[in-house]
Amino acid sequence: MLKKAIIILLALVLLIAPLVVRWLTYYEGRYVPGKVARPDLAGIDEPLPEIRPFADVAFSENRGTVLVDLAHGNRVQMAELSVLQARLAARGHRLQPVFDVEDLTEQLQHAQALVIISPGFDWYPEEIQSVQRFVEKGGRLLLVTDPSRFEVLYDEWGYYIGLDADVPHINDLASRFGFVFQDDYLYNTVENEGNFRNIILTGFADEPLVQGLEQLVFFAAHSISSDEPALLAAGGETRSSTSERAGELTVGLLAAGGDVLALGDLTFLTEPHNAVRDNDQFIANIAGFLSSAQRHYELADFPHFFGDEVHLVYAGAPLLNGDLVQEGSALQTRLAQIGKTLTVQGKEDGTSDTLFLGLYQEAEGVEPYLTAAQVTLIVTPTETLEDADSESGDSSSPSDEQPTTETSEEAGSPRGGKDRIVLEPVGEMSPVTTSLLLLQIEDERKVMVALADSEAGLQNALERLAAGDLEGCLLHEVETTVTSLLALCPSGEPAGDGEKGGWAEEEPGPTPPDETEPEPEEPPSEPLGSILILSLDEGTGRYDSMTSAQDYAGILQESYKVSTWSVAEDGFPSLEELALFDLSIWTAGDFDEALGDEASDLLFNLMFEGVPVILSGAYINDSTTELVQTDIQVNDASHPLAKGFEAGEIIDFVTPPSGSDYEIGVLEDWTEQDGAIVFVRGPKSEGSDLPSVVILEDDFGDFQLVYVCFPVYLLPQDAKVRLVVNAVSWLLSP
Amino acid sequence: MNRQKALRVFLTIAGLFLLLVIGFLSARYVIPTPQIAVIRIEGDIWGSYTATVRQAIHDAAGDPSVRAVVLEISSPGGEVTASEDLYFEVLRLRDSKPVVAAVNEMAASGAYYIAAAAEEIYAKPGSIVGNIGVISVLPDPDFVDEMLLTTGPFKLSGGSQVEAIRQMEVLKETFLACILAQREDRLKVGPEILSRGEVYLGLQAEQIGLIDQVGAKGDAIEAAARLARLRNWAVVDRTPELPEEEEILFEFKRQQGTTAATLAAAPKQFPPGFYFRYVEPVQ
Repeated sequence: MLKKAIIILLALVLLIAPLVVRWLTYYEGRYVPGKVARPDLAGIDEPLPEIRPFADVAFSENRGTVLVDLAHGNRVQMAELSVLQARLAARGHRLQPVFDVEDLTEQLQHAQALVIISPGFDWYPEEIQSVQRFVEKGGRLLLVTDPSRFEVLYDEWGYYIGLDADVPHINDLASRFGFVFQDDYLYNTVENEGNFRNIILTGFADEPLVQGLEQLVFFAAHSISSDEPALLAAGGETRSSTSERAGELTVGLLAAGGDVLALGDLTFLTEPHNAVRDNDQFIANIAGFLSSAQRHYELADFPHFFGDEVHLVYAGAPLLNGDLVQEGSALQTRLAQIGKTLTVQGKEDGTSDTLFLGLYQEAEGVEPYLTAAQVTLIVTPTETLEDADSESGDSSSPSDEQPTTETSEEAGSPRGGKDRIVLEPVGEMSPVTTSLLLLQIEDERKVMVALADSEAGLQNALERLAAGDLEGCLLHEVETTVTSLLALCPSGEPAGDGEKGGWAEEEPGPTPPDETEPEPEEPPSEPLGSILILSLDEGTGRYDSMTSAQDYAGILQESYKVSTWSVAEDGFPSLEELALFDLSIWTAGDFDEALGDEASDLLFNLMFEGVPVILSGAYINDSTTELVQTDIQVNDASHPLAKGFEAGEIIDFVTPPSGSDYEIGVLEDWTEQDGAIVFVRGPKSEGSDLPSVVILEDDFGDFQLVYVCFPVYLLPQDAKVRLVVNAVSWLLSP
Repeated sequence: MNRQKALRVFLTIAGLFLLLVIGFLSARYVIPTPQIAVIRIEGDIWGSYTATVRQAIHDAAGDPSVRAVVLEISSPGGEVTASEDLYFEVLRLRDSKPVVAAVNEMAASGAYYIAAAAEEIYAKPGSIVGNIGVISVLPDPDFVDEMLLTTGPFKLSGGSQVEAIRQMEVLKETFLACILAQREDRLKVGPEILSRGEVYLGLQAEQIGLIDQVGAKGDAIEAAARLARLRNWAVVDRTPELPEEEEILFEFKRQQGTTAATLAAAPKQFPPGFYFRYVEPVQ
């Protein structure tokens, strides 16, 4: 029994032992998986924006314009500024885009503020200067950049180069006001408005622009570097992407004594980002900032300093001749172009912006304005002049024996009664050669006074005003209870009479020469282009051995820079030499076989260089048919080459030196599809109606060829000149 | 008599020997050679590719001879849901078997998401790890058309751009929560640092706790063996084979790539949606 049990046990052991050995070979123990943590996602909430209701309460009677620069590749659409536009409209101001840089200087004269956002092009120094002057004269400037406003740059092969941010294009301008934008963006991964780039601003300066604000949100913003204290600063864990610096980072700044506002983000101005936290209130504050500029005007800013309604009052009763009326009308047109209305009134109403025009002799009505500017007129009034005229019969000279009616001084002046303008404390000037321009600003009212000695002088003064030309004028500013800006300007050349000085009365004033009498046409001072006349004169000619080189040169040398080249003497020029000229005239005259393979290749290549060509001669095509030709006829009078010719006009050839009628190669198989047929063989020629002057050009106008199938020296002079001038003008027209 | 006894002894010994042989032979079947399955995850992680990897993980989970799994990862990430899918699959696998991740060149964004589900992560010193966050192309703004009508303002786009940005924040928080659930005890930096989206070299990642140890695949395999309490093992490649047409598409997607230039130049080349994807620098 025991034996059996042992055997059974041994059997079991032998059966199980390999399993155990195998298990121990591969395993150290039994793997017990631990608890696998699952993420807790229940507490994750979508961050919701804090939208605050806003109601704009501003309303203003003021009117003004805020310009938006769109002339520098600015990366902004006007539609994005709709919120700001609405806030400005509530304040009586309109947002006006400027698309052309050349308009900017003029438009800055009347604008209250200028907004420049994310330019894509640099500002030139003269443009920067005009903006600086604008700010110096009280204009408000808003500079905005945004890190998301960039362009991707590629090289000429289409490979990526890099990104062009807005910052480099604006910093030349910004640096003039003491700050620069950094080419970075600010972010905060700890506390933000729904994304790390949307930083929450709570650091505000003590300025009206940020009054009433608790929190703003900027949606990716450049930081600004300056010594000026920040208007808006981002603190806490907000960092700059470039420096990784945390701390107080400026994103909004006031500079230039509070007239320049710089902001590092555009997105907050746009919908729907304006509605987040206090952004709407800040936009309203910005609109208030832009619309509250206190502009300082100069006389040269005429007529922009006026409001929308301006009254024109003629002081005294100047003789309104045609030129003066025309100037008045021009003034009305000029003001209308900038949205202002100039209406003629009999007298001032004391409240409206007013422009006075008049003569010194009848300036009593404007005396208060002159007095405020410390100007005294000592002149002989018109009535006194007329009385003197009636007594002496001389209407042109004031009488020294007549008492003068002086504006503010008694008779018996130190100078014996001669008219003069006294400007305290500067001195005295003769009114005869002087026109007076005075701008007085009292509160919101602007009054302009323009006085002169005569209608012509007055007209000259208005022309100066219209042109903004105060060069040579004595400028003076007086600040009393009102601001008076004065200019005393020379009123034109004296008539030549030393005693009278000033104007000769019959003389209407300086007139540009081209308005007085027609002048003969003179050749242009600069050649209209360069032309090479290539004389294909190798070998012998069939009849006269002539080319038309001299004819072409004689016609064209007065207006063009003409060079001539003889193939017989110098061989063919190279393609590079030919390409130096604006036009090439290949003239073969009656020379046979003038255009060989080499010349043909050269001509072909020249055409593909884009140099237009006139090709003329009797045997310049491959035609085997030669027929006598003695005239040409106009086929297409509408073509520029036929200018001056009548439709169907027939032009007979002249008799050449040899006295022979030319048998000329026929242009076979040429149709209108090949090119315009301007002239054909005339009725007296063999093969009449066959093409004689044709145009060859490609569809894109890259090359043009005028093909004259006869020597032009066969044409009569008049027709020859006309045809050559027409052809050259047409080929060289842009 | 003696002959009978000798025969009985012989038969007993033979029988015992036979039992030993049977025991020995059956042990190979009863206790198969333990395997460590290596599953490679390469290139962009996207829809049908994910399904294939998921099946491979299922197969490994159901195979008793597979005692541990090593995920060999070389990927910049990909679609959000694809990454999440594999993350949770790995967690389920860990309920029964240890999983170790081995990073080859890169386990960025969604690929790191998956790696974080493993018990341990190994990476080479120069491997790229991290880039935790979401990248997205926002939907076009909705428009109103006379012929194309919808019943809701966001039917066409799925939501406003502002809402999409907020959803990105939700995904980012989800991403972080999933990472922290597995590695919070080992991380040496906070979520505000991780959410910056930086990539780290393997060496740096070890220092801040994003990975467990610098090492190669072999080290990961040994770690897996350790966790599975193995003395000896066989390594088997359980990387799924893609069907031919998917192989072509996979290769196309792998080569397509996106660079920062592509994104900056034409963000709309990326289909609208959310991605856990690392955008490699311009070559």
